[in-house]
Amino acid sequence: MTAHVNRRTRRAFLGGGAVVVGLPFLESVLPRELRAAVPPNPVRLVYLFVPNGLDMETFRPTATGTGYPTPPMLAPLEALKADFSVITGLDNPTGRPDDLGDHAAGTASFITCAHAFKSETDIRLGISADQVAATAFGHLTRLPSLQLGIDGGGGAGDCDSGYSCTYARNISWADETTPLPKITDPKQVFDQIFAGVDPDESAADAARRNLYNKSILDHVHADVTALMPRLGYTDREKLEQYIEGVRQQETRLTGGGAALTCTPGAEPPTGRGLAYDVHLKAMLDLIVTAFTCDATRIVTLMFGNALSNRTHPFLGISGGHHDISHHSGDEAKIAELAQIGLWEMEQLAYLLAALKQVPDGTTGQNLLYNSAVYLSSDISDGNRHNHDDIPVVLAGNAGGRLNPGQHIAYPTGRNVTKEKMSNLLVTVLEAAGVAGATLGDSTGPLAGV
Amino acid sequence: MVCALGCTGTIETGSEPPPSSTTTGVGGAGGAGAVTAGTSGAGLGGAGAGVGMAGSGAGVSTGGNGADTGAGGTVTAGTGGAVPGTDPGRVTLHRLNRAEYDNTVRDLFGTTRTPAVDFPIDDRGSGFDNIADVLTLSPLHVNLFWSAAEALVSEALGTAALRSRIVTCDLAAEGEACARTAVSAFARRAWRRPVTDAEVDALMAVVAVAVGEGESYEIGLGLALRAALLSPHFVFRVELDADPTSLVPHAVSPHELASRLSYFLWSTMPDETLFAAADQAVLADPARLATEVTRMLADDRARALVDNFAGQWLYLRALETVEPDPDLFEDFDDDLSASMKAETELLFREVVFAGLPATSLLTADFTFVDDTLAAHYGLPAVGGSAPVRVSLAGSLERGGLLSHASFLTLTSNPNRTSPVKRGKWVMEQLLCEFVPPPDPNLDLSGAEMDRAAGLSQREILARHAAAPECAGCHSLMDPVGLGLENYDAIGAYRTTDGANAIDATGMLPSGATFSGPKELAALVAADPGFARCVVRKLYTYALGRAPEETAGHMDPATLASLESRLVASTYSLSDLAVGIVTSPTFLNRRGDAATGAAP
Repeated sequence: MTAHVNRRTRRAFLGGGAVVVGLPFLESVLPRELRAAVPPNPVRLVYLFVPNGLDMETFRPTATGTGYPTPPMLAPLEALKADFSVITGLDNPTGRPDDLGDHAAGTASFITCAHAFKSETDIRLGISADQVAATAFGHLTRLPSLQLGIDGGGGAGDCDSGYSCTYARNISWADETTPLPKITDPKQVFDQIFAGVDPDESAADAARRNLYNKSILDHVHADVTALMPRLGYTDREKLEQYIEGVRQQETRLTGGGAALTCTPGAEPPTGRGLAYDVHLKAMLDLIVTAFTCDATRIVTLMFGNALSNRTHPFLGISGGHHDISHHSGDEAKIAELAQIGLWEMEQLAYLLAALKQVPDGTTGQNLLYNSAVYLSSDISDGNRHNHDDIPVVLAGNAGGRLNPGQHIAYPTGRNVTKEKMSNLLVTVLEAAGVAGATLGDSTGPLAGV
Repeated sequence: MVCALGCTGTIETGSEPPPSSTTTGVGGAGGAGAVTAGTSGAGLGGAGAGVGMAGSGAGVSTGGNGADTGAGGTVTAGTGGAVPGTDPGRVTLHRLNRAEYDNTVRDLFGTTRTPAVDFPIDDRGSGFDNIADVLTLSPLHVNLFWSAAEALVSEALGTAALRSRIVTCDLAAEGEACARTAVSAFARRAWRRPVTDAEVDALMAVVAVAVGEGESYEIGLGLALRAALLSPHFVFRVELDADPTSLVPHAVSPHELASRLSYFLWSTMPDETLFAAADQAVLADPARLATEVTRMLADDRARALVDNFAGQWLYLRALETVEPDPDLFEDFDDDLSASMKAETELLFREVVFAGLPATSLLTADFTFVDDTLAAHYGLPAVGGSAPVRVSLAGSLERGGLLSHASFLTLTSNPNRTSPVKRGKWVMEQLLCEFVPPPDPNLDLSGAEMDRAAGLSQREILARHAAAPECAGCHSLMDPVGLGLENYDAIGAYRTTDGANAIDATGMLPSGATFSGPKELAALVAADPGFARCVVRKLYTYALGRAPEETAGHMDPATLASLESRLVASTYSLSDLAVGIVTSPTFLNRRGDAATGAAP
C-alpha cells in the first residue's frame, strides 16, 4: 500500500474535521524509501489502450517461450522481436461488469484492476498503475505524467449500460474519484511539455514571477482552507481534487522536477479535423519527444475511448470498430477486425522503433531499452466480451529488469486458477523501481517476465 | 408504451437504469408533519434569506391532497393519499463546465475568447454534462484555468473597452482606493454574490505584494483579479448549508438561487437584474420567478438552452463526429451536417421561444431548410444558405423530428440504417424507457446471414418476435424503427432498400397501428411517456442532478406535478421552466450526511 498511501492519508485527514491545508506537501510527505528506490537509469513507462479487444486468432502465437513463430498480427513487429514479449492468459476479474457494461467496466479496470462502481453519477474506482508510478517518481520531471488520447468524448448519449462515461474515457486515475483526462490536441501536448520554458529569463525576473505566482497561490490556499470546513463530505471530495491540482500547478510554476533536456522542435498540427492515423502518429511522436526531453517518464495513450465505433477509411474499412468486433462469426468482419489489430501493431512498431533510435542511459542503451511499453485492451475477444485471456504486448527491457522476446501463456480454462493482470502490472512497476508496489487486486509480481 | 416484458429483468421507467447506489436522503422521517424551520443557507454577506423552506404556490402534490407550501414557511404534508416527501435533495459542489466557463468569462469580462475549448471534455451523467457529481477536476484543469486566468486578465486590462468594465476610476492617480473599488466590484461579480470586507482585504493583500516590490497598482490589480478567478468561489458554483452535515432542508440563498436560474436558462452567471433581485431578497417569490423566466427566455443568452439542452437531449452535439460511409453517402459533408443541425435547433427554438407545444417537436407541419437541406429533402430551393421556414402541410414525407435528417443520421450505422437504434433512441430519449443491451453472448450470426442474403430489414428483425427474451423491448423498438425505414442512413427519402420495397406500417404493443412516419410521430407525441420524459429531461438539466427515487424525497411528487402541469398547459416548455424553478426542489437544499464509508 505504500505507493499510494499519501493520497489516502491526505483525503482521510481533510475529511476528518480539523483542517490544515499546509501546501505544498510534496517532498516532505513522500516516503524516503520510495524515492530512494528510483533506479539510476530511469525507466520510462507507456500504457497503450486499444478498444474492443483483439482478434485472438491472428494475435496468439502458436508456441510459447522464445523462438515462437511470429503470428500474423504481430508481423509488423518482426524486426523488434527481441524487444518485446507477448503475454496471454491473464485475467482481469475486476473488469467484469455488474450485469452489463463490459467495455466501460473493462476500460475502467484496464490499469487500475479495480472494480468500477456502477453508476451514471457516483464515480468510484481506484488508482491506476501509471499514477502509482507517478506517486513514486513523477516529482522528478516537469510533468508527473501525461495522459494522451484521440477521442475527447462523444457529444451525446450514454456510454455503456449505466456506467458513467467517465469510466469509458479514462484509463488514468489519480485516486478512486479522480480521473485524469486526456489531452487530445497534439499542439496542446506540445504546450504542456514546453510552455513556460524561457531559457533567457533573468534570475531577477524569475524571482519576481515566482513571488507573484506565490501571492496568487497563497490566496487560493486561504480560500480553500476557509471553505473546506463549510462543506459536507461529497463536496469536500470535489474541493480536494482542486487542492491537488493547485498543488501540482504550484510545483510546475516553481520549476519542480528536472529541467528539460532538449529544445523545442517544430510544433505539431492542431488536433481538430486530423485524420485518425495522422492524429495517432502525432501522439506517438510526442511520447518520444516527452521522453527525449525528460519532460515526463510516464505516459498513457488511448487509441480510442471504450466502445469506439470509429471507421478506418485509410484501411478501406467503413464499418464501425465496435460493430465489427461483434462479428458473430461473420468471416468478412473477422478479417476486418484482424486488419485493424494489424494496423494497431504497426503503430506500436513505429513507436518502439522511434524509442530505440534515441540514445539514453549508459553507453549503448536507448530509450526503448530503458522503457516498459504495455499495450492491451479492455477485453479479449470482442464477440465474447471476456475479461480473461486478455492480450498483452509488453515491450522494452525496463533498464534490464524485464526479459522481452518471449511468449508467456498463462494457463486458462475451467478449474484453473488464472493469473491476474494486476500482477503483471505490478511486475512492471517493480521493474520501474517502485518497490513493493500493489495495484487493485494484485497479490505480487510475476517471475520470468 | 411500456415494455411489457423486461429483456433481462423488469424495465424501469426513467432514462437511467435502476440505480445500483442509494443516495442518502432524509432518512425515514416518515409521515406528515411540518419541516422544522432551519436556518437558511449562509450566503456570505448576502441579505438574509428566509427561514425554513421556500415553496411555490403550486406546491407539490401526490394523490389526493397535496403538500401545501408557502414562501419562506414550513412545509406541511397533505392529508390522505401517499405522503409527499420532504427531502428537496442537494446538488454537489458544481465545477463550471466548459460551456459555463466560457459563457461566464464572456459576461464577466466582455471577452470573445473561449479558453474552455482547450479544457478536457466534460463527462456526462444522465445524458448531460452539467451534472455536478460527474464534473471532476484534474491537475490538467487547474493548469488550464491558470493559463486562462492569466490571458483573460491581461486582455481585459489591456483593452480599453474591457478595462472600463473593471476599472472605473484613475488607478494610477488614486492607487489603493481605486484598486479596492475595482477588486471589490470584480470579486462580487466573479463569485456571484456579495463579498465581505475580509474577502476584499485578502485580495488587496495580493495587490500589496506587487506594490511592495515597487510595481504599479496596475500590476497589483492584475494579480488580484487572477486570484479571484482561481478562487474556488469562481471555479465552483458554491452553495452552502449552515450545518453542512444536517439533513434539515432550507432555502438556498438569494444569490445561489440567482445562479441556479442563470445557469439553467443561460449557462452563465447572473446578470445585474438577477443580482439586484437577489440583493433585495425578492427573487424567490413565485410571481417574480415567472417574470424572470419570461425575460430570460426572451434574451439572446437563452440560446444556451438550444446548444446545451437540445444539443444533448436530441444528440445534436454528436453530429460533429458521425461518420457515414463516404462511398455510399457522397452527399454527406460538413455543409449538410450543419444544415441538419440547424433544422432541428430551429424547430426546438420555435417550441421553447415561440410557445409552440412540445408535441410540435414531433408533429410540426413546417420545418427550416437552406438550399443544401432542401435539395437533400427534394424540396424547392429556398434561395441561399440561410435556413428558411417552409410549410410541410400535406406532406407525407416530412414533418417533425422523426423526419429530421439529424435524428435519422445520428441513429444510423455508417453504412446502413438501423431500425433498432432508431427505435431505441425514441424509447430512451422521448419516452425515457431504459433499454438494456442484449446479452453479448447471443449468437447474432443468423441476422448477418439474412442480411447478406438480401432479406429486408423487416424480415431480419422478425427473429426478435420469435424469442421471448427479445420480444419485450423489440416489440416496441422494431416497429418504430421500421416505420422510419423510408429514410436512409443520412435521412434522405426512399421507397426501396436495395431490392426490397419499404413497408412503413406497423403496430405497437398497445395495439395502435400506424402507416408511415407521420402517424407514428403522432402516436409518440400522444403517449403519456412523452410528457413524463420531457419533464424528466429538463428537470435533470435544470437542477444539475438526476432525479432521486428514494423514499422521502420530493422528486417523484415534483415530477408528477410538473407532468400534469405540462399537459394542462398544452405542453408549454416555457411554462414547464417556470414550474421547475418554482418547485421546492429548485428553491431549497439540505446538507450531506455522507461519511465516505464504502458504498
